[in-house]
Amino acid sequence: MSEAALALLTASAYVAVMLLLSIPVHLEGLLLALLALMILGAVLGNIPVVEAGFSATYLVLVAYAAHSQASTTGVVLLALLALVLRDALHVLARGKALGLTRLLAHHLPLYTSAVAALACAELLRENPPSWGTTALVLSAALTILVSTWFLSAPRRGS
Amino acid sequence: MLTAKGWFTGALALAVLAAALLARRASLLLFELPLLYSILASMSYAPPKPGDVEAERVVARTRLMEGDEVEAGILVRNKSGRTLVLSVSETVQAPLEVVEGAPRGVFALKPGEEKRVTYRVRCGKRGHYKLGPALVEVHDPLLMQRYELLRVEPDEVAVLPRVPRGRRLRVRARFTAPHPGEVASRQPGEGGDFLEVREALELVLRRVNWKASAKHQRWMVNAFEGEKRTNVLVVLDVSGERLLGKRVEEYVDDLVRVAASVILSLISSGNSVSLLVVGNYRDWVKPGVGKRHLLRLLSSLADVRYTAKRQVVSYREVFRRISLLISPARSSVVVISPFTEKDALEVVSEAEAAGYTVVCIAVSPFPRSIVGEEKLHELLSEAWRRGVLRILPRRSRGVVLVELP
Repeated sequence: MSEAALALLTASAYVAVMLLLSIPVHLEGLLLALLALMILGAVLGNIPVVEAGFSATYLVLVAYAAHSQASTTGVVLLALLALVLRDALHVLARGKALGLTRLLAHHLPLYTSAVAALACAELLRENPPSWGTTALVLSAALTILVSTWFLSAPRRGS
Repeated sequence: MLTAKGWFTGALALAVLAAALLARRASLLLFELPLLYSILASMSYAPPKPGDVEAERVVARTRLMEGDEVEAGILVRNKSGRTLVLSVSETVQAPLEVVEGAPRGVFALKPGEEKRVTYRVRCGKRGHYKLGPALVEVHDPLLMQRYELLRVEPDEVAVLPRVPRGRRLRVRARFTAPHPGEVASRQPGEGGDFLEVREALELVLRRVNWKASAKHQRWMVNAFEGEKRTNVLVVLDVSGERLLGKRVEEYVDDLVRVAASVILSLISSGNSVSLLVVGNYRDWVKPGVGKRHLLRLLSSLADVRYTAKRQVVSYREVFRRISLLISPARSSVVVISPFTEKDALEVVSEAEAAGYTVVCIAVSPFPRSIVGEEKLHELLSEAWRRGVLRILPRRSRGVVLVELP
């Protein structure tokens, strides 16, 4: 699949999830504007613009998750899609020879673990955990995520 | 070194953490996970050593004419045992402009694989310009950090002035110079300029004109005129700011093109040509013959500029000191100038006093392309023409007027 097609697919999935989450219209407008900014940055080959658009999107989603009763799981999924879209746009902006599938393969442990993390979050939502429990769960998740990388990548200085 | 992606991700991770703490919502820390994963994965990356990657610049031609395009590129080879994400960025010095492709690229290279960043550059202005340096950097797979691996040193590209064809200049020589070679010729050879078809006195098979022989029913041969070769010193005067102000650069380009054309004509005729550039910019090239020397002269002409800083030593003094070094006495001198300044006329007087045969090529400083207005162009050109024709012509001096469109 070509990089552009994958980026388009991700963008479509992002918009579809956004519509399904029944986010307020003004917020949807803002997210779409930021999406347009990211795409514009990729078209112009300007990486900081892509990054600025992504960071703003991510922060808007965090703020929305903090101040609304919406499902955190759904919003995190939207954030993950924004992350994938950002990587796809990076590849498009920098040169197709980079290979998006290769880049996404490095994110694979993240995406698989994220699904598990989201399922846990959904279970915990009814009975919110304490800060201590959250820290413990996050540490465990991080250990799993990072160990998948550390096992495959050569050590610094080796 | 962190990339833009690295900086933004780091800042975003801190912002999300601050948001979770301020909102006192533990679930917000879920947003932190993807960002932390990227940061930690990037930090654990071990960059390759500089010897693991090879890079070289490939330029199709290093000598161009004004307006030509050339293909250039950086070839990168992965000699390490793992896949590397490499970025190449090449600096292209103005006024070289990239017309196709891009002088940068990011790509993943498998072990032993090589890839090339290719682009085409065009240059409309003569001179010597640098392609490069090129920087080869390696990125971690998530593009969060980059490490400098190699720097490919710049290559020089010479953009020679475009030589208008068809202008021929005949130089009257008071004497012809011998042109020593490795093996001395026993007798002078025939010249290269076609003279006529005549009846053969001595039958030289390769000179036979078969058509004419068939027509006249006797042996007819092509006769060639013997060439007179001499030493010619081309003096190029780059002045004229008083008349043209800031547009003097365009006029200098015109002067250089005329000089290139004259030099091509002289070299093609087999003359030994030297060059002396006078004015605020000064340069000189020793005499020589042949194609290699033509390139040397054009390369020198490529760098001729108008410089505002006035030199202490006068043109006349420069000519007196340099001319004898680079051109033997009694050879010919071609002076290319607008002849609007006293200095150029002094050079002509000095050359004649020193026994050189002088040809003056007066190039109008008021071409339509510089003056703009048609009426003004005609008035100024007429005034210049009259002035030059009043001052320059002498019995012993050749004068050529060049009026550019």
